[in-house]
Amino acid sequence: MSDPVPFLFTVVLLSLVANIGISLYGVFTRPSLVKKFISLTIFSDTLNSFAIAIGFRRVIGSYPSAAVLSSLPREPGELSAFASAAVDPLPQALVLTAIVIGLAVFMFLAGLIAMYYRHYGTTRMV
Amino acid sequence: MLAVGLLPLFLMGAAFALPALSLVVKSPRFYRAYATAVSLVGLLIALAVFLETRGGKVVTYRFGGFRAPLGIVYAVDALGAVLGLLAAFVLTMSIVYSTWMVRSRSEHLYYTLMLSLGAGSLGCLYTGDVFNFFVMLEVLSLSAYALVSFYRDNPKAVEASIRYAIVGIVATSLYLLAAFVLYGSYGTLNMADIALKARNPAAWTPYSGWVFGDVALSSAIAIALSAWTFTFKAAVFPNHFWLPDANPEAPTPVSALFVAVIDLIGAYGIIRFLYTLFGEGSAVSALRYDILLVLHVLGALSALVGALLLVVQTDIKKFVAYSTISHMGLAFMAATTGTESGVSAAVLQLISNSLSEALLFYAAGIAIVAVGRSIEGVGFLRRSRVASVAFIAGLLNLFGIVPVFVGFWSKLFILMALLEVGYLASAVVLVASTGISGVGYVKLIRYLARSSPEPREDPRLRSLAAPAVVIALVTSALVALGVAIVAAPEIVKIVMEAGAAAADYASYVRAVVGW
Repeated sequence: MSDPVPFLFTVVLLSLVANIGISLYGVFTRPSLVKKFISLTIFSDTLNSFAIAIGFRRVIGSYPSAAVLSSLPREPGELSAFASAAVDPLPQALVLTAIVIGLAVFMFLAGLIAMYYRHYGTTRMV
Repeated sequence: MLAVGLLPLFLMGAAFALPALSLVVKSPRFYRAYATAVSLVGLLIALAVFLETRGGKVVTYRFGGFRAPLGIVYAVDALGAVLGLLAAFVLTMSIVYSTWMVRSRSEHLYYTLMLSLGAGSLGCLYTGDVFNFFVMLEVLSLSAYALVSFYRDNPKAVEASIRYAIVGIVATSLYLLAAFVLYGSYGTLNMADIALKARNPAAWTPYSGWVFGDVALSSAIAIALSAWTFTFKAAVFPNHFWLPDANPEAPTPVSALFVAVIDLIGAYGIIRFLYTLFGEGSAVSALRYDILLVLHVLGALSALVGALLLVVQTDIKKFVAYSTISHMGLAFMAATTGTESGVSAAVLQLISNSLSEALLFYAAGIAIVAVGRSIEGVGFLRRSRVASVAFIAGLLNLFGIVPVFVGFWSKLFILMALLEVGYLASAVVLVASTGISGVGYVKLIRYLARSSPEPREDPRLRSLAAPAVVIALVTSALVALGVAIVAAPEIVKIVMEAGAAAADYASYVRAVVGW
């Protein structure tokens, strides 16, 4: 194993795919609405992690940095050095949007499940 | 053009101003007038956008003034504009109908959700950005889930909403994954930019650069994932189950929006993805034929399953839901022939289906108020001449054998598009599903001739002016379109332009990215 990074990256991607399968299994087979709800949140979090993984970039000999300029660049080379080490910021912006939308959707769904419990006295869906 | 970007934002802003206004003004009359006025202005803006796109023009609006791959661009071609006009029309009609039908303590929230549903659907039709499509899809879906459970004291409505929401969240999340995959491969979320790079993988665009990795593979994955979402939204077999499940529990004007607007978005998504983004000669052209064939078979199955199940329904709302499934199947069959005339036929079928299924709901809504959802209740409609005539007109339009209505011409166009590519079996499916569903439509007309169960006292039944206006307008739209196809070639031209615009990726790309 000369280079562990591509190997680890593949492991991460494959486990994300497996996670999608497991969470969908939970959504469609568990009769409890609360468990369906938990599986759904796992599902959407997995997709968001997947997006973050897409934005990942490998920097040889160093770690990738977050796409945040902490100080104003003073020298001409500083900005291009930053750009070559920073990860892609766009997937993070997308995930931020998706999380906010997910928050609204899941709040709504939680409210519905509570209402279901008030009507039927159970969270099992037959 | 400012109106393109303005319309979804206007509806959204107006929707969320309403809860704030409700703190000051506590009159249901005000909420009804406000929602009607807002939707009418929306309809006028949609009409202006539609007129602007005539002659194959692509109208764009850059949010914040950022150029194409950098910012979100709304781009409307003839296809999006026609469907947008249709969606705005049905939204307006449903809101006017609601002013008569919906009585609740939280009416302001009802109209907020209706307007945001409209904003979401128009955003989906107008956007030129893959991720913005997802955001608008979520706006649309969340409003739809909430509207199903609007009568939250009814346990069945809550249950239907939960079922719909859980599967809907999975479906839209799969679209989100497709958007991520596209971004990872193309380095852009702009539809025009993707369309350009799918045709020419060596293309370079400022800010988004070159493509990355195996474009054909990632495009195929993205199409596979998003096809799930689009068939779900369009209620095409095997993702049709939510429509007859959620539809009956929603308030009737919302049911009309479900069959007329939400289904439209699914079909639009398929056409946009498989013609504009990944059309003829794109990176996926080796797989494209198979993808189209699979969707074609699903459309045919959906047409048959919908027609077969429609005949046995005893709930009028489920009846219309299955009728929609059958007719959306036909639209899918036309849209997946791979030809421009097929897409044009699909657009005409969408117009015919949306107007007449909505019309059936508007007419049957009077019987639902008086007697209930049972199919025997339609006998009540004989007391209102407008409603009974409109009900028969809607059924005949869906049956599609009377050339006065647009339904006849849409089925004829579909038949011609199918024969053009030599899909004889599909033509047989079209005729068979028309025949089978015809049994159901005739059954419904016979129930109309019989007397209904004793109606209950309801103050709403004293004045039927608002529903009569809505019903008369939609009926005359159906007949006017049908007659205009013979009398004025202009209507045919509009539909043909929409079909041509879907496949004309070059002008789309030129208008948005500026190449």
